[in-house]
Amino acid sequence: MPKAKAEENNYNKLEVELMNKKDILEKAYELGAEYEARAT
Amino acid sequence: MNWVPNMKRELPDCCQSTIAAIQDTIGCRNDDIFRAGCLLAGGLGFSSKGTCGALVGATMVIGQLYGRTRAEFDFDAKRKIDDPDFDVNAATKGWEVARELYELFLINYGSCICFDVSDKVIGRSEVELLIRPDSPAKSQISSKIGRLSYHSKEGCGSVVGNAAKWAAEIILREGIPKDI
Repeated sequence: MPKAKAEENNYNKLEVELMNKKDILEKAYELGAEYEARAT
Repeated sequence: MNWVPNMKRELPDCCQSTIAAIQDTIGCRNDDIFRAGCLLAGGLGFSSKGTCGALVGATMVIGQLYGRTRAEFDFDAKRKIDDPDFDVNAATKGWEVARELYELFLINYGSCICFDVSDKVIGRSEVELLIRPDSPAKSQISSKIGRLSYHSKEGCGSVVGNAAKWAAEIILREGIPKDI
């Protein structure tokens, strides 16, 4: 895995550890809806 | 019944959107998984007849984390199912989790099929699919049938959002593997 991608994954993993469950689930929902809608 | 021409103007991808959302949230980005999901959008190739791309994308990330590896697959094949050392629960853990996602779709959308799910959230109909993309009558679709845009946040975007959220919930419960 490229170093930059591994660092990004590690950063996100650390963020997951710091966030509470509700915020993680909200982030997953918002990113999904945003990624799907941004093409239109 | 072919609505791919419309898709080519917009380039959405429910499957890839779901994969990216989960991977970015959890910190398990894998571009090979992401790329493989490209062809599975809109019920496979935007056919609308196959499994919802958001469900497929969520299942692919679940498989990335809990699915059987190639080495495990080869190893398991050499063992007898009644071997006392064979851990059938470990070998099939991904199946159970995938089934849970499928059940969440059934409960919330009544189906796992792209057409049925999008019909549930945006009210798409067979009539609309019969309209040619370049038909002069197409301009009346929004006023006569009154649909949300397919890929708006309230339309299939909400399905992608829910699939990503449900998958994230499962991943938090099952634990994030250290070796990803």
